[in-house]
Amino acid sequence: MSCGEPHETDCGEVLADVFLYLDGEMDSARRDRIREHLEECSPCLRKYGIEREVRALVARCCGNDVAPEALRTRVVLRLREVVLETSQVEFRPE
Amino acid sequence: MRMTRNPADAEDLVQETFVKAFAAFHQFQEGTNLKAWLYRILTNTFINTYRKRQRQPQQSNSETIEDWQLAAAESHSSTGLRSAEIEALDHLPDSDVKEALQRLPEDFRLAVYLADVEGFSYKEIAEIMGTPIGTVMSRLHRGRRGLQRLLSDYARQRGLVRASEEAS
Repeated sequence: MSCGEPHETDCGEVLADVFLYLDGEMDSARRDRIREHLEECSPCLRKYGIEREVRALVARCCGNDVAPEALRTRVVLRLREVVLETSQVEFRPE
Repeated sequence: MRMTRNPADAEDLVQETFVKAFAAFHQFQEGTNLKAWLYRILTNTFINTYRKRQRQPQQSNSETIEDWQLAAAESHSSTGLRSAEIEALDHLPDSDVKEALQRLPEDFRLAVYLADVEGFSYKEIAEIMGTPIGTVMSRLHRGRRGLQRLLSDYARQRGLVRASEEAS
């Protein structure tokens, strides 16, 4: 997996952290170290590219579902019922 | 939908979530993420109601997938997808990608969905799913491995990677 060149941050360490890097779950100092490594190491960059592409693919294909309009209507109606039910309970004392 | 695998249940779940959220709205802390809060109610409702109902057929199902998936993930852990396959994935129909996500075991599927589609942080996912952050990370990791494996299978079945295989 390694390109054989010496790096300040070890390839294994970078690959283990690619997930955190992509998910934005890492402090900026560490991000900089990983970014620097990716710029100079093509095997790691490839691996990073694959992980990034798959995330983008999932986001693109599975994220554009729109709830049916009928569902919205149904939920609004149900909430109105709930409001009516609770306000009736509140005003019952009279 | 990604949770229940069934549109009717998904609609019921959404409605129940809104009713519960409405009733509990005074518990919502201003300044916190409303979407994450709603997801948390949704996930709890799902676990308490729908999963119980689906348990019988689902459990055996998800266990088999999990075992198979783990074995697959192990044998592919060093390589995962090859970069030549990535281009092929772009040509997969959306339905294949959706189906691949659906086939993941529930906990993995939900973690991947919340991270990659909804863009929640590990901490938010941990709160939504009621698990430690470490568990979220492991579910995400295994879920993504499984997903990559499934996607590469789909690409191969559709003949999208034949050329790259011959090349390598």
